[in-house]
Amino acid sequence: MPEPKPPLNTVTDQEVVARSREGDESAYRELIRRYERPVFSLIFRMVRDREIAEDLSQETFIKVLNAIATYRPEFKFSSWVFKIANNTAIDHLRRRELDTLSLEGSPHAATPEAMEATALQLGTGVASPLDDVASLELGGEIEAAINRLRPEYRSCILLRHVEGRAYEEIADILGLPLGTVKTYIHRARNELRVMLAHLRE
Amino acid sequence: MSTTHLSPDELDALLVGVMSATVRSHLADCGLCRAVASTDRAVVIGLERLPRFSPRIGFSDRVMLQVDVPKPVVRSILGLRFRVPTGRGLALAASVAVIFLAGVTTSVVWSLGHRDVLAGWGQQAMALLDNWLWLGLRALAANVAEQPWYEGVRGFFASPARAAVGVLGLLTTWSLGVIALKRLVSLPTRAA
Repeated sequence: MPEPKPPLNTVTDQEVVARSREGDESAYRELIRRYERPVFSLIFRMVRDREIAEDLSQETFIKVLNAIATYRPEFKFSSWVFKIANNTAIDHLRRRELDTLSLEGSPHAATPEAMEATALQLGTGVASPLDDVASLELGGEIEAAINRLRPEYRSCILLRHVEGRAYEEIADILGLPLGTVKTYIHRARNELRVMLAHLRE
Repeated sequence: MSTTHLSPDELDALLVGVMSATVRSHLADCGLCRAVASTDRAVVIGLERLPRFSPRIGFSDRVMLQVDVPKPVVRSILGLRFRVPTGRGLALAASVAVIFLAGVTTSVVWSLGHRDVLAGWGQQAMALLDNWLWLGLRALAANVAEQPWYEGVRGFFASPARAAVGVLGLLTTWSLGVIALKRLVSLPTRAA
């Protein structure tokens, strides 16, 4: 009699992928559960439009899960997911030439209601001890500063300091040389430093 | 005081708490680098504290509506369980089956339309085979007849009684051989 399999929330990404390849639908859902928030946050911060971010996140997961048979387990699953998410967001930005956006909402919103609906809702994420007015203001300043970065810099800085990925992994995700990734991150930090300098005064 | 300010790599190292003696000494003297390092740290802390956003409720259901989950189908034939191929495996198996069936169908159709050609090839092949068979048999018989032991064996089997004893001996040897082989290949059984 075969041994019962361990619960999906206790196993590694690779094991969840292996079970999804066996046709286990709950394994697919577990992969979505693990990555929906990081992927959605990354894409949302890239495109600054909740509706578009939803669509692009959905597109990302559909691409990932329908191609799960082609995933090579010697690579990190998270890198693969972020690579597809980033490419999807960058493709969208290139199509729409949407590189400088407003914190107040999508530039494509036609009405004030639409602007409000697409605005970045600070403080809607995880509950945090920093969830006070000051941190919301600081968060808002940082979000606004990130928006003004070039898309390539934005991807790098978000992956490095929001998602906590290593330089090598970011190079793998973005398909860029390690040196270029380091340069982008340093330049992004320089720009953020300048943009946020008034907060220290 | 060093005139060279901190490099990007040194600033990076500072962010993860790595500080060499040279960097420490430079920071003690250089207000500009101190300010840069301090702002960098504040920016990074701010970035790390940014919240994560969630998609609308029902996101996974909306995704799963457009995902093809392979359905594993397990079949059992003669006690052997195997998974029926799905997805790419199924496509490959179907392609092989289609190519095989197309080949067989084409062959049958062509044969039905060219029966005379096929009959001609069949006759030629049979004649050739017949020829080779007879030649082979004749060569084998000639070879055996030229062997030094042939006359002795022929003489032995010339008498019906000796021939009967010889055949009986051969049958006994063959039976013993079969029994020995069966014992050799039988699986060991656990003693009760």
